[in-house]
Amino acid sequence: MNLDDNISKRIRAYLDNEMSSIERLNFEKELSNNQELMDTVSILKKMDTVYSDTDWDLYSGNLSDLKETSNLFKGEDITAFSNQVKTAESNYYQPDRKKFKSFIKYASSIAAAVLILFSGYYFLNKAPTSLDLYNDYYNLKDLPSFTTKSNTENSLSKAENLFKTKHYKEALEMFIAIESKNKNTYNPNLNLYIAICYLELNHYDLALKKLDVLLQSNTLDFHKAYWFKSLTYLKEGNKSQAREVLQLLVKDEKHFNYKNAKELLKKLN
Amino acid sequence: MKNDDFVRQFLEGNTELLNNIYKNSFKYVSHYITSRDGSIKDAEDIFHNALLLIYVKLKEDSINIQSFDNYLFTVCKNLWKRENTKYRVTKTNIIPLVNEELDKAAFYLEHSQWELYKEKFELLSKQCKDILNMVFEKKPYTEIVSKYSYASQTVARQRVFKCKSRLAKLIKEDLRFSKLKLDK
Repeated sequence: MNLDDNISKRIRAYLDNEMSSIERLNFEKELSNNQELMDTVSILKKMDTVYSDTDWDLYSGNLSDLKETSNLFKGEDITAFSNQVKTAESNYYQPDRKKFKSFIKYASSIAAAVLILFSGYYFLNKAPTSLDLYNDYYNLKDLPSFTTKSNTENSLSKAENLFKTKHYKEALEMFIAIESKNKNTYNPNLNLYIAICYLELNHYDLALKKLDVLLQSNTLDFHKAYWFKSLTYLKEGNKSQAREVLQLLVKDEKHFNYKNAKELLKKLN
Repeated sequence: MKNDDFVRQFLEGNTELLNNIYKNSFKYVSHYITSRDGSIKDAEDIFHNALLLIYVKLKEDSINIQSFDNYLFTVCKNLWKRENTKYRVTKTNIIPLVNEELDKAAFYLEHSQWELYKEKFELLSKQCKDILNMVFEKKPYTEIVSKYSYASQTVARQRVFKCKSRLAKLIKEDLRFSKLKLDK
């Protein structure tokens, strides 16, 4: 249907709320008798929701149509696929354990031969892997504490306890909730815990992003970010990036973990 | 699409492929949702339901995906937008969908309609797309008038309406339109 000037004007007036109540009533009556016009108006109305990208248009049609479509989400194949997705989700949270298991499986089959042939050489020349170095230098004592004698029950200390008991996901959720409630006050320690939760959950990109925020902050503790960025890179297996960050850290003796950083750099070089 | 190796493995629920999808995409979705007042549990549910929707759509052969990661992220974003809308909306004519399958079906229809609208928008002329983008971004009409040297705001409004009408015609002419009406 091509809209003539008259109908175009009336649709615009209707959508822009520029009709008198009588004109509006008449136009709505016309709409209810003209499906094609009704479709056009309803599409025009919907455009703002779809293209402004902020809202979502919810289904408000009849239930029988919906029931028919819902059959697409029933059946054995859907259940099986859903279970496979759930397995992938739990695998996602245990990548290190999986890697470790497959490493053990592989290693056990060749261990004897390797040990006989290369044991002497291996033990004399073994270079630590980046994960070894991460495990050696990652120390929970480097993290601040939110717990004080007077406020042991506040939400920060609760989140910290979740973190200490290795409930990283729950701790992260709580830290993020606290952060979003206090958007106007930047807390470097909170920022650091969020980053370390990401690190523990192996979200390296997000950990680094959060540590960059700390690094750019105008706080006294900004330089802690160098240390934890280097550990993030080590856990990720990226020795060269870890080295680069440590080189920035050792430029100032006052920076956090200066001595450890020097030692770690030697091992990396 | 069904001949595509990736799609075949996806429809088979291949463990390695699904593990890779989690590894590559979940962190971005999780970040998107947790930075918009959602929890990680919300992100997990959204990610799961998005994969299920894509499974059904691929099985029906009703989508042509250029980049799987981008498409998955878009579906997740829309699901999250929908969750927020669901809590905000108080419209009485909306059916409260307590049944999970019905809720998934509703999103299936809503998303298909959303895709139809997005697809048709791309068929407009460049100038129409640019002008409408300004309108949907809520730019003032004075800016549209000066950018396109229109004689007045009335002329600009007429031009916007013409573009919108053209878009409405494209949407209405598509065979999918009548099947996807959300307010029948």
